[in-house]
Amino acid sequence: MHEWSVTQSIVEALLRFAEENGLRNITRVVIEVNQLSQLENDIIKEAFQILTRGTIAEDAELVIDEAPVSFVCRNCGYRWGLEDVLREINDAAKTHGIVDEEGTVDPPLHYLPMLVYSFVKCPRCGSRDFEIENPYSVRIKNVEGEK
Amino acid sequence: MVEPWEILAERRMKEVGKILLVGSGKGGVGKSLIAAGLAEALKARGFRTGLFDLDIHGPSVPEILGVEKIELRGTREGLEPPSINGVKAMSVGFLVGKSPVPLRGAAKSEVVEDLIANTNWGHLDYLVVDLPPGTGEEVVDSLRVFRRFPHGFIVVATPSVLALSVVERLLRLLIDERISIEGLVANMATLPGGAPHPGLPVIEEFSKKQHIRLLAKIPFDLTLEEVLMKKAPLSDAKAFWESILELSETISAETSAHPG
Ligand SMILES: Nc1ncnc2c1ncn2[C@@H]1O[C@H](COP(=O)(O)OP(=O)(O)OP(=O)(O)O)[C@@H](O)[C@H]1O
Ligand SMILES: [Mg+2]
Ligand SMILES: [Zn+2]
Repeated sequence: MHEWSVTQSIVEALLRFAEENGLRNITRVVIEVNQLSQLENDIIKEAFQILTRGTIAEDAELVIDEAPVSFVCRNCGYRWGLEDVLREINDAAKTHGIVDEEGTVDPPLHYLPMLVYSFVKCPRCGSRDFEIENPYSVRIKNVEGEK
Repeated sequence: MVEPWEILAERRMKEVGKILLVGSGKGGVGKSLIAAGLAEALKARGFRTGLFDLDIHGPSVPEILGVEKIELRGTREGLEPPSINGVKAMSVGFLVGKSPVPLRGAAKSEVVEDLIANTNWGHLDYLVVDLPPGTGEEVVDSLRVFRRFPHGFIVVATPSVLALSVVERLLRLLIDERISIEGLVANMATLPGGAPHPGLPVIEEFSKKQHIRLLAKIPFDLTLEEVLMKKAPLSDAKAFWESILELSETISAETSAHPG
């Protein structure tokens, strides 16, 4: 249920932004969530709805931007995507799993997506020296509202 | 705009009485042992204490605490730091085990920020932070967060001109970044048997010249390695522990935190 804490921080950041910029209400928000976390959009949306209740973001539309994860090996130049390393990432839950309140065992990347460097290697040459296009966990990309 | 992780970081740090940053700039001077020892000593004095390993590439806290493998728990409030002999601890080592952590640049900053944001320490009197050598992302990124809360930097050095020249650079950074400096700890200040290290006058002079208080002189303790091998508590290394207890007294005498 890490989604709740992520959403809570998004909502608080939004409300602070609105206050600092004199927004009367927030109508639309675009966030980007790193796909390596495998956070569930449905839970984020539900949490957002509940956590914004009674605030100026109550009626805001939440858009979750699913920018695809792409890797480039700095050693051999090979490019690959999330689907190619999903097994390694989820296998990490067996050895380094984090148990939540419901008993679900999540991989460490659920909480810290950039620990991907500890669990993934270049599928072609085996190097860990690769680049990730989007090395961020969670970002607010755009906020729309009325003054 | 303020980023979501900063909101969480703020919430965590508001619950901490004082953040004690243990760093040096120089590698291998005993930062991790002193940070872990200090956390255990503050706990022994009755304070609620956390030990935060921010050495992303070379975490030492799991080894020092004798943790081989641990199952972390997560809640709606983030990651629960496991309590090890009464000290709450968090380390990248708990998340990746023995895997290497070859992070660079923005990805490393992200891990530092996520760790600070997602570790749910709860109420603490002291959070002792074990910093890595150097002044890279781990240090610069975390100082930016920690300096907004009650904090003090404990600078660790050994009695060597090589250590002190690096430490001097760190001090300049700390002053520029407006970090409050608790003082200097001279590690391995005495030789086995108790004779002073020949470099001791250099460090004493350094502390005067830099107007930084010498908080403690920690002896070279030959039993430390044995204690680590046996995964025994640091209090078993008698000479080391005695001076760490003194250090913890000096530090806690000056803050308003009371055991509770
Ligand atoms: N007072 C001491 N007496 C004897 N050995 C010590 C003492 N302090 C540190 N050591 C030893 O020195 C080595 C380095 O200690 P430690 O790992 O705590 O240093 P560090 O500054 O954290 O290193 P790094 O820069 O890699 O993080 C270890 O082997 C440790 O056991
Ligand atoms: Mg260390
Ligand atoms: Zn490759």
